[in-house]
Amino acid sequence: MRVPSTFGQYVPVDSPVHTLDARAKMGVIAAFTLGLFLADGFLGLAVFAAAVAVVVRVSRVPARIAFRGVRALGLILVFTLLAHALRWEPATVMLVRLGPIGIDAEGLRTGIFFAVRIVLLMAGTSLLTLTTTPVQLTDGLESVMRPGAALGLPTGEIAMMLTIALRFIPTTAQEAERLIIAQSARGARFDEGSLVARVKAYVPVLVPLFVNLFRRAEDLATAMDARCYRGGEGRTRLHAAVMTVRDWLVLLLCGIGLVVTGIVL
Amino acid sequence: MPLLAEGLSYTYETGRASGVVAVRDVSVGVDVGDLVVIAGTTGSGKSTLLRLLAGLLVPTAGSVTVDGVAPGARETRGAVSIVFQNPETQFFAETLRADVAFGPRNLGRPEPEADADRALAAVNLDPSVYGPRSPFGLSGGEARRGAIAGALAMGARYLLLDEPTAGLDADGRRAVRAALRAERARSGVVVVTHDPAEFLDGASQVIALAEGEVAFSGTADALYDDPSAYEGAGLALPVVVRVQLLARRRGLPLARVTVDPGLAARSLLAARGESL
Amino acid sequence: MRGPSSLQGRTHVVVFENVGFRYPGARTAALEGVSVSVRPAELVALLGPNGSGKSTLVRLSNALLSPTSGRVTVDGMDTADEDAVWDIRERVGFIQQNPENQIVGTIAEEDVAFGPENLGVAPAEIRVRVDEALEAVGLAGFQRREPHMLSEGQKQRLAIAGALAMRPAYLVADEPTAMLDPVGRADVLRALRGLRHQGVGVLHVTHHLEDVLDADRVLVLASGAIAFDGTPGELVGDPERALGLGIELPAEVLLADALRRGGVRVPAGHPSAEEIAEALCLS
Repeated sequence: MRVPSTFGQYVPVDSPVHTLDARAKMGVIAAFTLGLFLADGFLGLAVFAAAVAVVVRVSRVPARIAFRGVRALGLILVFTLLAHALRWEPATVMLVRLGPIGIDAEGLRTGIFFAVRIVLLMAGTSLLTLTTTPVQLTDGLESVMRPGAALGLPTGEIAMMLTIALRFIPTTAQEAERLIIAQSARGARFDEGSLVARVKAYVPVLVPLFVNLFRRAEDLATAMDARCYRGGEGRTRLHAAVMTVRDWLVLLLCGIGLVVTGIVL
Repeated sequence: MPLLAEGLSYTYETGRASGVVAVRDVSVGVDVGDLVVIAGTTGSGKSTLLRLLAGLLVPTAGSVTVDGVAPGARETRGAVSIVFQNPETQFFAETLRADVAFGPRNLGRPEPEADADRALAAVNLDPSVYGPRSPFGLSGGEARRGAIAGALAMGARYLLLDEPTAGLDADGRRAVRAALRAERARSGVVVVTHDPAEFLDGASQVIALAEGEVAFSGTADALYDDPSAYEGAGLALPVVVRVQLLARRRGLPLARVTVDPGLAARSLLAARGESL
Repeated sequence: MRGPSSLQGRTHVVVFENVGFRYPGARTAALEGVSVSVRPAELVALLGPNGSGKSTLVRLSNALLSPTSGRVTVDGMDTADEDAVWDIRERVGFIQQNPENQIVGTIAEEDVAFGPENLGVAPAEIRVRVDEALEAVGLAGFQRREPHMLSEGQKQRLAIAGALAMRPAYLVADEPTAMLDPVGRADVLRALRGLRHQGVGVLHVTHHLEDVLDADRVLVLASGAIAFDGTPGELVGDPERALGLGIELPAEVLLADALRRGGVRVPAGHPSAEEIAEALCLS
């Protein structure tokens, strides 16, 4: 059995994007998101699309994988498109009309604009997880959250929880797949009947999944105790991440560039 | 031949141009009363082969038929049952009876609970005692047998098991073996394992897989006559068997070779007495 | 063996002194009157049926549990002393049966680093320890491998490396081979033997006497008490006693014993197939 690669899972190749500090990448993503929301024309979107394309290219992540997350958005995209494009008793020039409902050019334009924005947002942010190992990510998060520690926020513990969650995603996905196959072999059907029936069909998968997860949690807690885990304080790191000049430059230049693009276009 | 696989091949899709070949050109036949042991190291393709026989994977080449019909056809639903590794990790119901009845209920059988009780009795778990118990509080051997009952309850004529005794202690293994031995009166049993020693006595056929291909196929006696292909597949004969083969090669007249140390000692001593 | 260790210098030994343990709310004690010791470079095997108290015993050895009576000390430190808990766990590595569930890191080197990180070891030193530990268990070059891309045997060796990176004086292994295939099992046993030769004392809990035929000592637990404390040879040489203790002997040992009783001069201990056949055809 092969593991289905989870969406947004780290792609281990060497690239300038991969070696960038996680915090720099997070900053750039924040600027990208801000710029994307400030941009109010298709020209702006085109520039952001070009930026994503260039980064995908430089990161050496196969485009097929980089945009896989977009497919998962299918339903949301269709909904966004329709929510803007459909009009009640429209007055302007109609493209399609069905009784009181119709689609007009203006609505369609807005719908497409918002859909494209979601696609770009998804593609841009997934580049972060595609080029950063989960541990770099959580270490980065911890360091970004550090000011919160002064306010009594358990930042080290939050980062550890995230690490463990990320660590067990593939294991749990494998386990779920195994259970679905095993219960199918006992005649379970997951694709028949009403919505309620389908949800109920997953009980024989979810119950053992959780029973096994609790068992795992217990073992893991023992293992962490045995290896002297006692919270974030006093811990050192194998990879102590340091922001280099390159990281700072990328963060500042890309950050400013993206936000300005958003404001101007 | 009721459960028949001919020229089975299976290639895993990996996204690359050429997939990974897991099984190549394997043919197997299983009759009611048979115990077919499929042995191989990790990655030899044995678990894939078992899934192909169960109809859970569609072969890239070759075919599987159950009593002449394709698996999954209406008249064969439940006829082939598979028990995965550590099947007790699939329990979900409040009582063992309800869990075992899951299969027959899914198949729309009229009396799933009665099917469950029959299956529990078949694996030596008294239904009146174990039926109402929680499946989560059983000992290792009991849980394993309960899970096997879950497959039997579907009315299986062919029972396929992946490492049925793995992780159990001696008592648990003995109980599972006894249940499988009894089951052969009603069905054909296929066991996939990396350590076939405990199933060699009584096996009607032994198949050794190496890198997805059949390295050896034949009776246990044929295996003992020439174990070279079997050993070439990375498998080792039990020391007790090797002692008997060595003794035979040195001229001791041994009629039968067994994995049971007590029986082996008796026949070795008798043969030694004869030859002296 | 009491007292002096805490007074001066450190005697290097894990000692159980007349230890009892009862889980809260349990009617019977899980362990009673257990006295055991493990020294550096010593391999001690712990056998016994399910429910005999093996898991309780190993959890007492690194302060995951505290005895309800008696005393457990590690190099003179009492496991009941809360201030000593982390020093004790640093000295006593621990690995469990299920390889998957004890891996914390998302890639191999991050997992091995977990222990030293918790101990506050400097990053450069962690790097050295991680690489050495992976090398010691035969996983050199696996630094960036993700756990779910490893075989079960490799995962278990990764867990051993994780314990090793803390530079322990002892390693307690709770049925480390129970879920492995023969190849994985052989690899893990080899890794454990390697530790012993590096001077680490190993307490190896197992169902399989075959796993520990080269142990310095074998302990057998039955209903929470030590029922046997001797060498593997003593058990192998006395199948009736072994059976009485609920120990399953390798089939070839039973064969050799039956042949011996039939008058064949089979060498003592754990003879090979060739040796048994030889004996059969000679005398």
